[in-house]
Formats: sequence, structure tokens, C-alpha cells
Amino acid sequence: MDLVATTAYLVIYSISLLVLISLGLAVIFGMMKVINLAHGEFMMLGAYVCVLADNAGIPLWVAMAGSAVLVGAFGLLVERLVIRRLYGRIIDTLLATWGLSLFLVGGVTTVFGPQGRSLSTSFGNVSFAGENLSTYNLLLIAVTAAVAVLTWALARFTKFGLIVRGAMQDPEMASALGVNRSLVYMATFGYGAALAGFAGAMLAPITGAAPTMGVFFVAKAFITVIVGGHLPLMGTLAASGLFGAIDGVVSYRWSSVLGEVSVLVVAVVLLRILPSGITGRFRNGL
Amino acid sequence: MAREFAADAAIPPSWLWWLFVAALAVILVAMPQFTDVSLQLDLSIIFVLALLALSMSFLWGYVGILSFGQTIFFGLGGYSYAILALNAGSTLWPFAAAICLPMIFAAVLGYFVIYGRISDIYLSVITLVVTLIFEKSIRSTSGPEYVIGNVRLNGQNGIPGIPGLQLPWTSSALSIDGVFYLAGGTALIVYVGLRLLLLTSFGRIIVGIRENETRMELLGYDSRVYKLAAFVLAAGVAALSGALYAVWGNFVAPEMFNLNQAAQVVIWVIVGGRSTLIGPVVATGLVQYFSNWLGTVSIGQVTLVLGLVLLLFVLVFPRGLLPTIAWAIESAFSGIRGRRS
Amino acid sequence: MNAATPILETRSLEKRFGGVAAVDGVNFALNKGELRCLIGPNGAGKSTFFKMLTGQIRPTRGRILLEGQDIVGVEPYAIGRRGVGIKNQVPVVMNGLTVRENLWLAARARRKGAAIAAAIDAIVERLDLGPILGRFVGELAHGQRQWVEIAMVIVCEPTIVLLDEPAAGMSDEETSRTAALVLELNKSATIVVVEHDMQFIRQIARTVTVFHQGRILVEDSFANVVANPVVRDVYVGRQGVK
Repeated sequence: MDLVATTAYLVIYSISLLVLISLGLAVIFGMMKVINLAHGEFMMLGAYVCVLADNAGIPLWVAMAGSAVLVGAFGLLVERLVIRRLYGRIIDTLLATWGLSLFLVGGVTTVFGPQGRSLSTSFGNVSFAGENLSTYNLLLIAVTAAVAVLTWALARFTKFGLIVRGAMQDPEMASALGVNRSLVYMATFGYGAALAGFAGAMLAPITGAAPTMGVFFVAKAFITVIVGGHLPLMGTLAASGLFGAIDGVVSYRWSSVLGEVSVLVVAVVLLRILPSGITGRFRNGL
Repeated sequence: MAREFAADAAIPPSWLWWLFVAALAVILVAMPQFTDVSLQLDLSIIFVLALLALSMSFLWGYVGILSFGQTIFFGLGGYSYAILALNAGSTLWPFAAAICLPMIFAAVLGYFVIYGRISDIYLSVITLVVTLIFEKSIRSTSGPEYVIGNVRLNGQNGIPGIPGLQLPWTSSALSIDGVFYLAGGTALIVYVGLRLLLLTSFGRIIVGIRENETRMELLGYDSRVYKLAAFVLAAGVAALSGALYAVWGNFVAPEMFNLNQAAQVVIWVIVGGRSTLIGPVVATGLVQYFSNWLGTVSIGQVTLVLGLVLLLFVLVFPRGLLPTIAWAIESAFSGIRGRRS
Repeated sequence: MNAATPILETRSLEKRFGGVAAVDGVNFALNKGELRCLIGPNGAGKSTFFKMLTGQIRPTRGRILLEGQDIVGVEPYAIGRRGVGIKNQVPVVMNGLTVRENLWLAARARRKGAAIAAAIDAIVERLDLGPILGRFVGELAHGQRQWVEIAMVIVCEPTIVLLDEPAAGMSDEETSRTAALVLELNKSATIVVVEHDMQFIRQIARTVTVFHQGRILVEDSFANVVANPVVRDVYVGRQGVK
């Protein structure tokens, strides 16, 4: 494969990775304006569920679905016990979710030990235009696209999606129309957590499962969500597109650390120009 | 509501406070006579970390900026001293430079974030990300090609064998007693200095900006300049803490930048309360002793407990331990008085 | 700037929030030494208009000329330093600090040393703030907080004073005091007052500008405006969308 195609492939992969890890956070942030610092740990939990299930012989796709469901349920619990008490207190929510994140990292380390674990299943490669491409990477790109489309479809075509969009745009009006805001928030947080858990599970074949894996992803997801702005889908796609491209190219050409630094620099500069993120000024849309 | 910040401007500290400070100074001077070496070492590191806590409680409590990245300057201070002192052979000017260099970086980072009018939460997250990037970058410098002068960065193993601080009129580096006095004395001086800063125009204006930035701007103050100056000052205190850390332990490592360290700084201020400077200092001592005790068990459990503490305090004691205790005592007393009449 | 140039002028000033125009093409001119009243129903765009004059909100379109110079895009602190003072609808003051400290901060903005104390003493005496000097502003009643804010504005010796509902929540006696203060202030500053309280306006009014749906509807003397049927319809609600 020539240089352009290789780079294009790497960029698409980078973008997909960013979308995958950021979407859950974006949904929660877009809806509730909550920055969930435990997002990385939700992913970590998803990865652990997947690895443990897979090591126990459960088919991989079932394990992944299970991750989404279990972490989603955990998210519902977190929303009820912690987030709900801190509505409107943005900084306190930030700190509380940080506490939760530390608690989860510590808890998993204590129970499972600090070493990482890997999946027993492995994937092969496919031949494409004269190069070996990892099957799994291709699968990840496809599945991420599917998840993004699924989220869009849920929001666009279901009754619940309509309620969520309404509550996002105008919470006061939605309340006045009889929408149970706490229920919407709880469901949204649960869905965001499920997406995070699923992302972790999807990453397990690549990174394995380790207690501190979340920290690495949290930084990237945050920058993506904040620069994306308040619309979960459009914002995430736009920011992921931008940063995935930058990270992909710079990491390939130089190093992954430089890739991250470039992304951060671009993010800070971009936030200076567009303080509310890329979709900050958009009123409609998802 | 209005009393949430007892760090109210322009009220000179009472004679009681001065007595308290004098008492601390006396205890500090006398202590090495009565304590053994290991206690001195333990207390020295608490003084060093108390400086880090002070930088955070100043920045958050007085200025109103919640930065999760004071560890950036803590780590830069430590590493700067390490690299300069090992290269130069002397220790005094590297120590001074170890405070100034991080302040320069703080000016640049602060400029982007403050003049960019980046809002509170974003600022918090950006500072957190920057400290994590430093950690990650330094952690990846294990190879022999990562050298500054003739000092290898050494990646996750850190830089050992850092010379202790040597005062120009002495013939050798500071002893354990010396480090104890240096750390304790510095912490006390910085604490007094920051408290007295409130009495100056700068201090009062900073507090005004924290209270209502809009009104201050309408009055004609360029709040960005003041916030940047405060940010750089806080960074200097954190860098001082980092340099002292290197002097204390003769060792620096990327852990100085990491999430756990950043979390601890925040926890000290949350437990100690934002409304005083001394609260977080006391909290540092408490949390350190507690962590040391836990640390004998396993790493996982320290993190777990830190997380629980943070959660607990945010949910149950949002004002911090000391203010809540003070409030509880006050309420109990006024309750008693009320019943009597 | 000569005597004929308005001290404050806006040309085609517009502010849109999403699809809604809060201020929709306002051409406003204020002469030096004037005392202008701005009236209009709620949501007519008056507060948004004020906030653009102080630089707190950036206009979508149009120009704002302060003593002949365009100040669109200029930072609020620079506009404040150029002599524009505002008392907001909801007092924008340092609630967590004492009245004394609030006044000190206002005085310190433009002065140094002994002049600060002198300025504070002067304003405390003028507005009779002595009894509340040591109180925390957040614990004061609304009317008292407004007085503190007005005091802070006066201390800065502004050339233009914007007062957003200075009589709100005040008793009749306080309202008269406020009216007297406004007239007195007018001797040294140009003033624009937004108000709903017609009794108050009656005590101070010269020219009245009527805002409606983001535009200037009518600009005339108080007597004429009050008698104007179009204005009355706007207030009662019979005047439709333009």
C-alpha cells in the first residue's frame, strides 16, 4: 500500500478509536453537563468483564455485549447514589467522579492485582493491497461506525430519543411538559456508561485489561469531548476527525507521545478561538 | 453563605494568630533535640508536601482557580534541581533556578488558559491532562539517548543520587537536621507570607476577583493579569516544594507528576477546607500519616481509600473537615446558649 | 470630539441569540450631560443593550461609539476605565466581602494611597452607608445592595452611568432618595436609566426612549410618550409583531 493509503488507513483507525472511547463521555456531558472523570474506569471495568468472560470460555461477542450491559447497570447505580446528589454542582461532580475513579482503580488492583490480563482469543490478519492489516483493527472501525449510527438512530427515531433531545435542548420546558428529568438523566448516564464499558471491551483484545488503563484513555476522551462541544454526536465526530487525523499522522511520523502533545496544543489553541467547542454555537442537531 | 470564605481580605490577623505562629517557630527550632531521626525525616517530608498543599489552597481558596496540575510545577521543580545540580556540581543556583524555570512554564500555560478565558472546568481538566502528559513523556525516557547535559532522565526509574543542598558557608550538604529546619522554616515562612499577602493591594484585588470577576472588570481591573500573576506565584510555591523534595530524598521520579499525587493535593485541600490556609496543611499531615500506614498494606488499597475519602468529603463534608468540625462546635455552643435563655 | 458629537452612540446595533434578535438594529444617540430614560416591556432588549455598552456582551452586528470611538470588541475592563459605570438589575457586587471592602476595591481601581480612604469616606457620607459598612454584602437586603453598587459606581467617577432599574424593590421614601441622587449625579455625569416605575421616571425624566422587541419605538419627552397611544398599546399588549 502506498504512503497515502497507509496514512489514510491509520487516520481512519485513529478517528474510530477516538470516537469509540469518547462517545460515552460525550453523551453524558452533552445531556447533563457532567464531566465524568470515572469514564476511563468504566472502560476498564468493561475490559475486565470481557477478558474474564472470554478466559472462562464465553464467546467473545457475548462477553462484549455483557460488558455493555453490566457496566451500564453499574452506571445507573452510580447516577442514583452519587451524581444525583450533586446536580448543578459541576466542580463537586468532577471531584466525586474523580474519587470514584480512584476507588475503582484501587478496588480492581486489590481484587485482581496490578498486572494486566489478556484475552485468550486472538485475531488474524487480512491481506489488502499488498499489506497485512489486522482483522481486528478493521472490525473495530466497522463496529465503531455501527455504534455511532445506532446512537444516532436511537436519538432520531425512538420516542425516548426524542425526549432526551428535548430535555437536552430545553430542560425547563421538558420538565414542564411532564418529562421525568431524573429518569432521563439516569438512563442517559447508564447509556453513556454502557458505551464506555463496550469501548473497554472492544479495546481488550488490543490492550488487555489492567487497572490503570483507564487513565490513558480518559485524557484523550476529555479533550475530544470538550473540543467537540455540547452536541454529543456531531461534536465527537468533528473533534475525533480533527484529532484522529493529527494524532494518526504525527504518531506515525514521529512518536505517540508527540502525537498526544500535538493534540493537546491544538486543543488549547482551538479552545481559545472557540471557547464552547466546535459545536458550541450550534443550537439544533445531535 | 457569605461566610464560606473566611479568607476575607484586609482583616489583619489577630494577636492570637501571631502567637500561634511564634509557637510553631519555637517548636520547630526545639524539635530536633527531642525527636529521633526517623521522625524528623517523616516530618520533613510533611513540611515539603505542606508547601504543595499551600500552593493549591492559595490558588483555589484565595484566587478561585481549581487547577489539578500543581504537580506539574512540583515535578518540574524537582527535576530541574536534579538535572542542574548533577550537571553543575553546585547546588545553590540550581535550587533557585528550580523555582524560576517552572514559573516560566506556568506563565506560558497560564497565559493560554487565562487569557484564552477558558472556563473553570475546562481549566481543571486541561491542567490535569498536562500533568499526565508530563508523567507519560518522562516515563518514556528510559533510553540512554534521553540526556540533558550529562544527566540521564532515566524514564520510570527516576534520577537518583541528587546532591543535597549545600549552603555557601558550609563544607558539606545539609544534614537531616538542616533539611528539617529548611523544610519547616520554608513552609512556615511561605504560610505567613501568603496569609499576609491578603493585606496587600494585590491580595485584596485577587480576592475581589474571586468573589466577582465581572464586577472587578467593570470597575476597571484587568482580571487576567492578576489571575496570571497568582497562577505563576502558586506555581513557584509548588516548584519550591518540588525542589525541596529532591533535596530531602535525593531522588526524583515521574510519580511526582502522576494522577495519585495530583489527587492527593486536591484531597488535602478538600479535607482541610478551602476557607483557611492552615487547614490543608493539617490535612496533609493527617493524610500522609494515614497513607503511610495504609501503604504498608498494598498500593491498591491506598488508591482505594483515597478515592473513598474524596467521595466521602464531597458528598458529606463539602466544606472540609476542619471547617465542618469548627461549625459543629459553634452550633453546639449556640445550641446550648439558646436552650439556657 | 466636539460639542455636537454624542457622547455615546450606537449604529444598527444588533444582538442575536440563536434565531432570536434581542436587540434588532438600534440607532441610539446620547448627548453629554443628558439624563435619558429607557422604558419598555420586559424582554424588549434593554438589559442586553446595556450589557453591550459595557462590553459584557459582544454585538452580532453594528457599532458602538464612545466619545466618537468604536468600542465593539474592547474588553470590559478597558471600557470601565474609560468612564462607563453600570448598576445592574441584579446587583453585581462582591457578596462574600464587607461593604467597606467592596468600596475599597472600587476606590482602589483608580486611586492610590490616602486618596482611597478619602474617596471612601466621601461616598459613605454622601449615601449614608455608615451603619452597614461592616456587614457582608450578601447578607444585606436587595435595596441596600443596590445602594452599595451605586456607591461603587460613583466612586469610580464615571462619565456615563447606566442604571438598570434603580428603583426596583424600593420603598417610596427610598425611591425619592434615589431620584434625588440621580438628579445630583447628572450634574457630573451623563445618565441612562432603565425603569418600569413610572413614578420614579416622572421625578427625573427629560427625554424618554421606548424600546420594543429589540428596537426603538419612540423617543420623545416624558409627557408625550405617556400620552402616546402606540406606547400604551405596546405596554398593554395590543401592538402586534412587526
